[in-house]
Amino acid sequence: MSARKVFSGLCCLGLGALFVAASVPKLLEPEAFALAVSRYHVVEGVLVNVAAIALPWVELAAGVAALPFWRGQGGRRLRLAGLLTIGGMLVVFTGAIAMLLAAGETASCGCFSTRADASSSGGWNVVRNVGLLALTAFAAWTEAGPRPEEGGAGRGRMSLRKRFEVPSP
Amino acid sequence: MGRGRTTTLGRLVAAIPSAVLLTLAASVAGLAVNAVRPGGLAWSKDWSHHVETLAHEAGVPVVFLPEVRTAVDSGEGGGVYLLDARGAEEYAAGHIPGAFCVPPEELDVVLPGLALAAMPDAAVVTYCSGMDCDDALTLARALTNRAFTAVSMYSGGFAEWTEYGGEVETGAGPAAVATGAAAAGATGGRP
Repeated sequence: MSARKVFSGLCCLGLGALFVAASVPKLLEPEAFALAVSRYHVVEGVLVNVAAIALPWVELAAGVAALPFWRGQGGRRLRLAGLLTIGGMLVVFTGAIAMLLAAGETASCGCFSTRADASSSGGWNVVRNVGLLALTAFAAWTEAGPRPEEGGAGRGRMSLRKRFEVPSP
Repeated sequence: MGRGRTTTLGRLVAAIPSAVLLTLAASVAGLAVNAVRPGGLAWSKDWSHHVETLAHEAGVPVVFLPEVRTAVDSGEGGGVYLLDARGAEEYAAGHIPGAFCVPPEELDVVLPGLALAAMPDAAVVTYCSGMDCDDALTLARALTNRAFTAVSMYSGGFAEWTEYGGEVETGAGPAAVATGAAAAGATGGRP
């Protein structure tokens, strides 16, 4: 297995675990998370609760889907869907935090804690999310890369079809 | 190589519907679980009347527990005037250390007795009982209307302060000083 594949697997493990962990406090404290969502002022008042109910479940599902333990074609497809969902969420979260900071407002990002004493968002949150986004992009690109039977990742191997192909005269 | 890249990109694009499906399925599952879960969130709560939303619309910045803690822990309010917008009785029963009792309806009486009156650019944080009261916002707006430029509101209020183990000061405290000073025409007070 190439170093690239190993690193991609580690990215999937880290990102998956991170998003599963991030969903837990939000699932346990939906009211507090709804308040965190409302502080971004990006969701209309009546949609705040719907977003606060759905978002932790999307994080949980995407995190589980991105884990590297799923095997086979279906597993790979599931992982790719999970990584794309994580990427989409990271883009939205980063944009929302950046908008909050640009408006000069301070609030806890609500990323990993819904507690009132969680530290407020800062430029660090944006930098962290951009880093996570880069790792997500790398893992997704590797996951979507050529399969061994296509002669990409499995260098030196030959697909069964090619191996037994009789050259035409 | 070019063909490989196209294939990779093609696979990524082809996975987008699966990602959308995953998002939708998880959202539906979340809404379904919330509907049957004891203490689940109401779908239709309108946050536009929440005190923080009202503060945002009024242009009053909201501060949170870590900032208030920092101000209190640094002693003498950390250069920040904490104003308790609750009534004198509630204030006497317990308040954030160093806070002055300034109910919005008594602002004109109490304010002249505070050193704050002569410092319109001083940092001021108002608070009341918690997120269900709007006295802190009323006070913040009243101060802003009186040309104070750095007024913000601690939305969590006294309820959150005590819930997270914040130190509580009891008795008339600085308010008595302020009121007494007002009567004497002085401008003493903390910080």
